[in-house]
Amino acid sequence: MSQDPATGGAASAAAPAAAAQPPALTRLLLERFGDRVLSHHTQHGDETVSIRREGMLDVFSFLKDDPRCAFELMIDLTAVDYLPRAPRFEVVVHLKSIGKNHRLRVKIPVAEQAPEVDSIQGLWVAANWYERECHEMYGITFKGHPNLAPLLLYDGFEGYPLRKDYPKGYQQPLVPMRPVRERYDYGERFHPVKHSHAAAVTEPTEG
Amino acid sequence: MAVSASHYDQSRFGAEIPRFSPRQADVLWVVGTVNQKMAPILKRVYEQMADPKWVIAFGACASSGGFYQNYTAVPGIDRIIPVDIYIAGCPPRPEAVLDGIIELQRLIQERGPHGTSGLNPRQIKEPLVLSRE
Amino acid sequence: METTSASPRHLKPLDFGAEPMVVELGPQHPAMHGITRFQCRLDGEVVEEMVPDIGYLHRGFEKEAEATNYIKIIPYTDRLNYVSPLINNVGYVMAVEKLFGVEAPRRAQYARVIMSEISRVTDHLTCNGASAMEVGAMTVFLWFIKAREYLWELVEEVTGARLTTNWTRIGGNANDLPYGFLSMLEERLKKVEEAVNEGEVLILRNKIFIDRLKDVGILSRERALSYGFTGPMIRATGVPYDLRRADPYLVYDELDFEIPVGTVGDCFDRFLVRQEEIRQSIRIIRQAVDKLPPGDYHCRDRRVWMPEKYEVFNSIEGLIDHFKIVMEGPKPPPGEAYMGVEGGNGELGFYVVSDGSGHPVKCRVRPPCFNFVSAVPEMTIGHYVADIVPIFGSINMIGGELER
Repeated sequence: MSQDPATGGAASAAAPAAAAQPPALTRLLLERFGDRVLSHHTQHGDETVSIRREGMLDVFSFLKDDPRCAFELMIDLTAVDYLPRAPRFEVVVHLKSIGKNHRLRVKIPVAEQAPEVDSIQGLWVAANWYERECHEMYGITFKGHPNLAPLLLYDGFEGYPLRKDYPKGYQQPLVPMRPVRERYDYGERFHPVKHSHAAAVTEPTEG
Repeated sequence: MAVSASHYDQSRFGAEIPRFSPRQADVLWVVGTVNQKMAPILKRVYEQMADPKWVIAFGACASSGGFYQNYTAVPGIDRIIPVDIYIAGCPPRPEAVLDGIIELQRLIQERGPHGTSGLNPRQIKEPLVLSRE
Repeated sequence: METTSASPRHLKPLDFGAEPMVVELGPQHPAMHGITRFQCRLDGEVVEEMVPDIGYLHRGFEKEAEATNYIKIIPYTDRLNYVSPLINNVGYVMAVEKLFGVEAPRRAQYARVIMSEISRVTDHLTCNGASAMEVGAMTVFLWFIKAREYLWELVEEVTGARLTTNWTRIGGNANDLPYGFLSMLEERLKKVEEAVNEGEVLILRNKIFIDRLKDVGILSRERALSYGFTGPMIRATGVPYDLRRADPYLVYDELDFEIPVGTVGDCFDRFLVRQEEIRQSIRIIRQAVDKLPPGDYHCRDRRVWMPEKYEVFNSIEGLIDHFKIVMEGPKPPPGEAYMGVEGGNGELGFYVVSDGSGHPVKCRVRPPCFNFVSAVPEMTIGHYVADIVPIFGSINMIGGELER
C-alpha cells in the first residue's frame, strides 16, 4: 500500500491527527454515508473522497440532488491502473457545481477480478460516452449502461490498451500492412549526396 | 487551410481546387496521423481514385507516425498505400507544403504524366502473346 | 387548352411511401471538420436517428504520456487542440506545477495570460469563420483566417512555431516575450478587431445566415448541464460559467472582463458568444500588457528548472541537477492533481497522477468537445440534414482534442 500514490496521501489524511478538520463536503458525506467512505484527502486543494463500490449510486444521486452539494456538472470520468497494487483499478469521477462553485473528486477502487461498477449515466448523460471510453480502454464494466460498444477503438480490438500490461506498441491492424524494403531510386536531383545513409530511403515494396 | 488562403495562395502553383470526391482527384493529401481505425478508409479512398494518381504524405505523422509510436498510430502511411512525396515537419510550414507541390510537379515532368505509385495505364508491362491454337 | 385551364395550379403531393434512408456522413467528408462519421437515418430530409462514430484520430495520447517524462509530454499537448495549442500547454503545465507545488513568477503568469488569450481568439476566429463558410459566407472565412494569420505570426514570434508551440515549461515559460513584441501586439490587435468587425457587419444582418443558424441545434439548459457542456456552449444557453471567473487561475482575478451569455442556446447564440469573447479576450490582452510586471520568466526551483549553464560547467551541484533533469526528468512527489483551464471550447482539464517516478502513472485529458459530440444526435434529430453542418460547425469539434 505504501508505494501507491493515491492512497498514500489518503492514509495520512485519514489518520486522526491530519483529519482534524476535513472540508465541508467530506464531512457531509462522512455523516451521511459513514460506512461507505473508505478514505478522503485534500491533496493540493482537490477535495477527494474514496467510496465503496456497493451502493455508489446512492452517493452519486445524493451528490447530485442534495442542495448542499448540487453537482450539476460531471466533468470527467476515467480510470487509473495501479498495476502492482491489490485493488488494481480506480474509477475517478470529477464533479463540479456551478451554483455552489465547488469541486469534488470521487474515487471507486475496483478489483482486478470482475472489474465492475455501477453506471452513473442515468444521473449525468455525459457519463455515457466517458464510460464507454473507460470500458474499452480499461475493461471496466459499467452495470446498467445501455451500450458499451467501442467508441475510440474498433470492433475486433482485443485487450485493453491503457492497462499497464498492454504493450505500448502492439498493434492490431485492420488492413494488412505492406512490407518495407530498402530502395533508392530518386535520382541525384533529390539526393545529391551519394553513398550517404540519408540517401537510402526505406520504401515499401509494391503490393 | 492557411496554404489555400490568401497569405500563401497555393493556386499560384497550379494546385487550386480541392475535389470533394476521390474519383475526380489526382492527388491525395494525407494530412495528419492515420490510425488503425482510419487505415481501411484511407485504402479505400486511394483505390477509388482514378489513375494516374499521386499521394502526398503531409507532415511527420503521416510520413512515419512521428512521435506517436503506439498501439493505434500507423507508422507511416506507406505501410498502407504507396507514397510519392513526403513533406517534413510536424506540422509542415506552408512554405514546405508549397515546396512539396512543386516537387511533385517536377517529379511528374521527369517521369511523365502517369502516377508514380499507382498503375500506369499507358505502359503495357508484358507483351501480349496470342495463342495460335 | 382545356386540360391546361382545368388543371390545378399545383400538383397534388404524391405519396411516395417514403422509406427511411440511411446516409453516411464522413469520415472523409469535406463538410466535416476533422474526421468524424455520422450515420443518419433520414425520413425525407429530416434526420430521424443519428449515431456518431468517432475515434478516427485516436493517437493514444495517454499511453504515450505514461511512457515519457513530464517535460516531454508538453509537445504532445500541442497536438490536442491544434487550433489553440498554447492553452493546452498552460493547462498541462499548471497541473504538473500543482503536483510539484511550484508556481511560475508573475511575469510568466501574465505572459501566459496574454498567449492564452491570443490562442482563444484564434480558436474562436477559426470556429466562427468555418461555420460562416459552411453556410455560404466565404468572404467572412477569408477575413477571419487573415486575422488569425496575424495572430499566428505573433505566436511564431514568441514560440518559434505557428501551431506546435511547445512554449510553457514546468515552473515558467520557454522564453520571455521578445523585444518589441508588445508594440507589435497592439498593432496586430487593431487589425484583428478591424477584420472581426468587418466580417460581423457582413453576416449579422444577412437573412440567409440568420435563417440558417437561428433556432437550429437548440439544447435546453438542463440537458446541456447534464451533458456536461462547458465553455461557449454552456454560456450560449445562459449559464455564466467561465473557469476564468469561477476558479480563477493564473492572474485572471486581477483582470476585468465580462462573460457574455446567450439566451436560447442555438447556433446563432453560440456564434454571438464567440464573437463577443473575441472582444473580451482582446480587452484582457490589453490589460495584461499594461500590468505586465518586470522580473523572471521562470522559477528557480531546482527540481523542475535546469540550472544556468555557468553553474553546470562550474559546480558539481549544477552538473548533477542538469543531469538529473535531462536523464530522468523532473520527479514530482506522489500524489494526484487536477487542473482545469478555460480552453477555447470549454473546460480543458488535466488529471495527472504521480507515483514519485519520472513518468506519470496517468495523464488524463478532459476534452471539452467530447461532451459536445455526444450531444450532437440530440441537437440534430428533427432538423433537416442540411442543418447538420451548421450544428457541427458551431460545436467547434477539434479531432485531436476529441479523440486524443
